[in-house]
Amino acid sequence: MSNKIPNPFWNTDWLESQRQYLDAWQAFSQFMPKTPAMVNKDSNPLTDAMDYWWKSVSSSMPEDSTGFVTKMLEQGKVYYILSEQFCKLLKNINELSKTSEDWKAALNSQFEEMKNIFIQGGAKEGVQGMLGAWHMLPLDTLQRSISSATVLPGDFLEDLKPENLQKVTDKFLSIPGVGYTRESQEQAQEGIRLWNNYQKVSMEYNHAMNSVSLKALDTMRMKIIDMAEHGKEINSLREIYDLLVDCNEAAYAEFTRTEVFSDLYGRLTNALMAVKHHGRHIIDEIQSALNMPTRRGMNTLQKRQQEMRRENKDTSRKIENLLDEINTLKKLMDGNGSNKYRKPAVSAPSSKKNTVDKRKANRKTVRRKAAKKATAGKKSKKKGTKKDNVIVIKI
Amino acid sequence: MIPFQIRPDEILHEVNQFNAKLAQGINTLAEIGDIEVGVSRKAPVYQEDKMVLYRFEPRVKKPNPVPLLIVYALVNRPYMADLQDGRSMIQGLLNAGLDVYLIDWGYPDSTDRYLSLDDYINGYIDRCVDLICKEHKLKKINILGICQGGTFSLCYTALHPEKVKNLITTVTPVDFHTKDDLLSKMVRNIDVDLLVDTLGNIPGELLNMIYLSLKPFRLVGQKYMDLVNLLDDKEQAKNFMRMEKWIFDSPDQAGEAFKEFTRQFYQDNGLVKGTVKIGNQTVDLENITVPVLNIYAASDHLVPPDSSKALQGCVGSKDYTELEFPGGHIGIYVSGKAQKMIPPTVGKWLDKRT
Repeated sequence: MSNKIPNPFWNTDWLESQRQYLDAWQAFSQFMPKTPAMVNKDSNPLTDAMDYWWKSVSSSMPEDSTGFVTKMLEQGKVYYILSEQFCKLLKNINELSKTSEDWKAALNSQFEEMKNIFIQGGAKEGVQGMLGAWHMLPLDTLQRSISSATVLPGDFLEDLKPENLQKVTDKFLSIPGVGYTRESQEQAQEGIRLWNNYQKVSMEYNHAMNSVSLKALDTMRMKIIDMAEHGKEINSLREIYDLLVDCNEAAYAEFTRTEVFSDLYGRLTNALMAVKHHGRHIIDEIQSALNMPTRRGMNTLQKRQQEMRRENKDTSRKIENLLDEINTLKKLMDGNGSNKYRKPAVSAPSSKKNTVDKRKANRKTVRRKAAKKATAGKKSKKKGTKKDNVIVIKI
Repeated sequence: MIPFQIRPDEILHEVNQFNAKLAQGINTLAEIGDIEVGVSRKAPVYQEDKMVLYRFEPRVKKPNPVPLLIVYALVNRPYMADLQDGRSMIQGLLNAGLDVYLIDWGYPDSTDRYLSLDDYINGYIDRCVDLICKEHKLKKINILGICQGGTFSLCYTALHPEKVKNLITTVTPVDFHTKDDLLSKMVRNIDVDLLVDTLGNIPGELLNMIYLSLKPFRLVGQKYMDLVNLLDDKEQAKNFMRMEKWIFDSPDQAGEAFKEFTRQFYQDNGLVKGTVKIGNQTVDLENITVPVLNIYAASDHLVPPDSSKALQGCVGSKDYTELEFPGGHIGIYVSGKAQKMIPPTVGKWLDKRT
């Protein structure tokens, strides 16, 4: 155990220290105008200072690096929020327990309070600031990635919660479509039905992710107690941050390996796709009415184009194979006869005519001789056979 | 005793230091300039649509007479295998005396929406293999598959065994239903027909974020906190940025191929069941009788080791070798440890079988 005091927060006002730090920071940058965030009492002074500073330097950064740096700054803010939350926590522990023996009870009480914030869904700015950006990632990703696919942006649906609109939508959906606009009324009703379904699944997903955060807090609390029992110390903010990351990663991994997660993630994606798909269908209807190209039509074109590409490549390959075969046959033919009789004609084009004439003359002579010998005796016929073979090959 | 042994002024000091490093880091980043990737000299030898086949310049006088074709995955870009000097698997393979070719799939766009696995495997890969065979006057070549490219290589070898002399798979998923495969759990219940019908091609950004959500707290948060400590060293910062560039350089996925891959491999686990169909042919891994070297990473969070190791029980080869790399999915290509271990092993393994 270190030689430090039992609770290092016993006589320090964290918020006051933090304000002093911010004042010192601002002393370096008095020329900059105050933003609304800077005067917001509820905001974290350190994250405000970072925003303040980033605004002044971002214009001098190469464009390629700004997106990347933004990610670091976001993490820096998480770091600051974390520091604030834990300093508050430790200060509260100190207020609750002036003796070192009952700090565990105080710790439990503080963690329970943090968990309640999640359970009540009011952790927007505080504790969720540490975790929200992470545990919302899969859902946020889906929404942002497909927002360009329809007229509705990905986050359009976020604030329209079913609990607020259920009564309205139920009434609307129960009215049957009538008149010559019946079809479009039904389409609108179907859209709302799909969107309602998506919102329900989305809430279910958020609830599950909140449970992951609660589990992570429980794990963290137990780890802190375990560390105390084994005489281990936490000596830096970074160690607290790493502990938080480890606990959240462990809780997240445990949940995402279950069939419940697999089913929920599937339903969430499918529900969102159904909404977007329906939106695209409506856009297609409008474009079709305006005699404009539709997605449906483009799909058909692209499919046909791919089939044609496939056929072209197949045909090209067949032609190439045929050409290869022709070349092979040519070589075979050259190889069978030309060594003896054709090679000179090919290798010396200028002598070709003479060679051919000589061949023709030879052929005539041979034929004449062969005809004579055909009527001659057995001995002479044998001699003629050799020459007959030559003729056959040449023809 | 409470384990928190840190006073508020110490926390503020730490935050102050963090800010100072961040400010210094911003300067480093501003001066860092262009991030270059790809170190080995190469030339395109064949191009078809957006696919380019490259040949790397051999680094030894008499390279192995049987060339090695690297089949990369459809996700991310292949320069990860040749990231920078001293962190390049390809450089290592060239040093090991191999004659290396690489397939770069390019960036599919909406005109590639209906490219299927048949187009990729029996089309592009097969034509590349034919071209290399013709160029080297050989009937068979060696193939090395990377991740999903390894799965493609397995399918190709099973369908065209007469054209493959030796097969090497690296961090290749084979069994898609192992218990620790989170990626598989995420896509298991997705209506992939509806997904592709809605989105067309699958945006690369969506895939990136899905990969990040496998370990969201580390990959979206902690990693950038660690970076702040590296930023006072320009070279380290540059290395980090190079990896970052690769991670987020993610092409869109051709809708049809994505649909087939997700359904047949991830949802139906068809590769181990023998039900995968590429075009009109069924992929039977038993048809793979050529020598196989299967390399996997012990700490792989994308392709769990068990998923890769399942290959042993599926192939018909009597010459099967497994190699475990003590690292992760990316480390197997870029870490210093990997440079000493993977390319020399591949080189020797191929030399013995040539």
